[in-house]
Amino acid sequence: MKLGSSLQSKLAFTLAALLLTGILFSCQNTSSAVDTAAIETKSSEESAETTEISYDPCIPAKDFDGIEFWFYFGDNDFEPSFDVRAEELNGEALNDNKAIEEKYNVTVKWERNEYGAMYNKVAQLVRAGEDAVKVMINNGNYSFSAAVNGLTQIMNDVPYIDFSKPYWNRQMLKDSTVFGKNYFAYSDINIHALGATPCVLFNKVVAENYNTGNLYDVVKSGDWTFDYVTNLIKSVTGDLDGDGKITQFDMHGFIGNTFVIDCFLSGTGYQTISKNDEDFLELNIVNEKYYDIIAAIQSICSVDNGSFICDRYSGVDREYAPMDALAEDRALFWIANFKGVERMRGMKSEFGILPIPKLDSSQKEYKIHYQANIGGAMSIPITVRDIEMVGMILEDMSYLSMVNVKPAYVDILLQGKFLRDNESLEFSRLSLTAITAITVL
Amino acid sequence: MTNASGIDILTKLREFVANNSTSYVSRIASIEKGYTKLLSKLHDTFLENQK
Repeated sequence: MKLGSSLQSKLAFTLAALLLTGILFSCQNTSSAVDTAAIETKSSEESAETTEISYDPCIPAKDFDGIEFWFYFGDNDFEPSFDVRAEELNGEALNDNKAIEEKYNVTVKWERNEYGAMYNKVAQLVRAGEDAVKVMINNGNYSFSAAVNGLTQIMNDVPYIDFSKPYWNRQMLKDSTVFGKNYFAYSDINIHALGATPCVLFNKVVAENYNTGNLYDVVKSGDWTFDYVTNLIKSVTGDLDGDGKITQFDMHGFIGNTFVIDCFLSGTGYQTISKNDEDFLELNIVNEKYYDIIAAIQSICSVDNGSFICDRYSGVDREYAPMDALAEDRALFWIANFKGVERMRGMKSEFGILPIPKLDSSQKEYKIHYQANIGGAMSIPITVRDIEMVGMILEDMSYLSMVNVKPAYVDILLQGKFLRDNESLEFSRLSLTAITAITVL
Repeated sequence: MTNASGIDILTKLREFVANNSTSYVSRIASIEKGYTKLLSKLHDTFLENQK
């Protein structure tokens, strides 16, 4: 099966929309959030004990004669992935494949490239019939394109892979099936996706100077809405240098790039793509509800309401201008993701983490999306001959990542190095664990 | 966010919002029409794929 290039080039939209807005999970309401956080606030050690007892796939060791097990993964320079590589981040080794290598007598290898280049490389190898790549890790767009173009195989029947286990992202699995089949999957190996989870950062010095009150209490009360945030933005934005215009160097109630628009949309819980009775994709963008949501996002992002969207202005760095403004106490809010939080670790002033606001007070829960278009989905090329080996290794590696990698990321990195208060940690932990917590609870 | 295709629903939404476009309703209807055709092709492709 092959598709024309023009069609192929358009395929990505479907998955981008599906994964970015069609797959949402709830952060739960306030009370549930606290409960969830409490459950997840077990130490890494406790989690490891529990999950080892409950979820170890107990796959027998097997000798694969020293074969090189190649992961080909795509990412970008600004937000590099460390899903598979043994990564030293501030002294903490996040991912260690030695256990897998010893158990199966394989050498875990990886090749990294930019998303599109990696897709093309894998496609070239698969079309040549080469059994070189065992697993492709790429973003949602390219993983879906690979499925459509017949480059990757259905994963549901792969021996040893058990999608009912909590280390597989079951929400994503459920919402990304096509006719009941999964062509790619996210597991706890993919902390790249986890780190791309959106959040609102706020500068506590600015919050105090502008008397915003306790924003955590606002969130807990359920009043953290577009209107509430808009009023705060208006009250803060101002012309610091008196030149009669608002530039990146002035005071901002809210600064960000167009990524914030994705976040506001997912924060409403609206799904632009859902599934029909056949378990096939269905588009939901022509209706009054969607129009109203777009109007609300336009309003909260408008210049008139004091928002500064960097992409509107030539010469403004869409990635670094918001970070600079927040770090220099010239911005109250910035919407980023947890990788953005990592980048602010050197910030002098205190900052906190909040959820994406609700559309209005009638919305019951705070919503957030799994950042599939940055994070890496795993898929298996059709040219892989020893599918059992791939199943064994992916299942075991996913399990070990749940036990070791994910807790290390959440506990060590966020709690120990980046976050400044318990409320931020509570919300962050909830966001980063809800993907499984929502299905466990 | 990297966008492999350069064209998707979110890209359009970003354009609407960033440009403060007031014509989004009519444009969305047009976009939906095009994407519905694409979904139809995808439907057939996946059916063929899973035979």
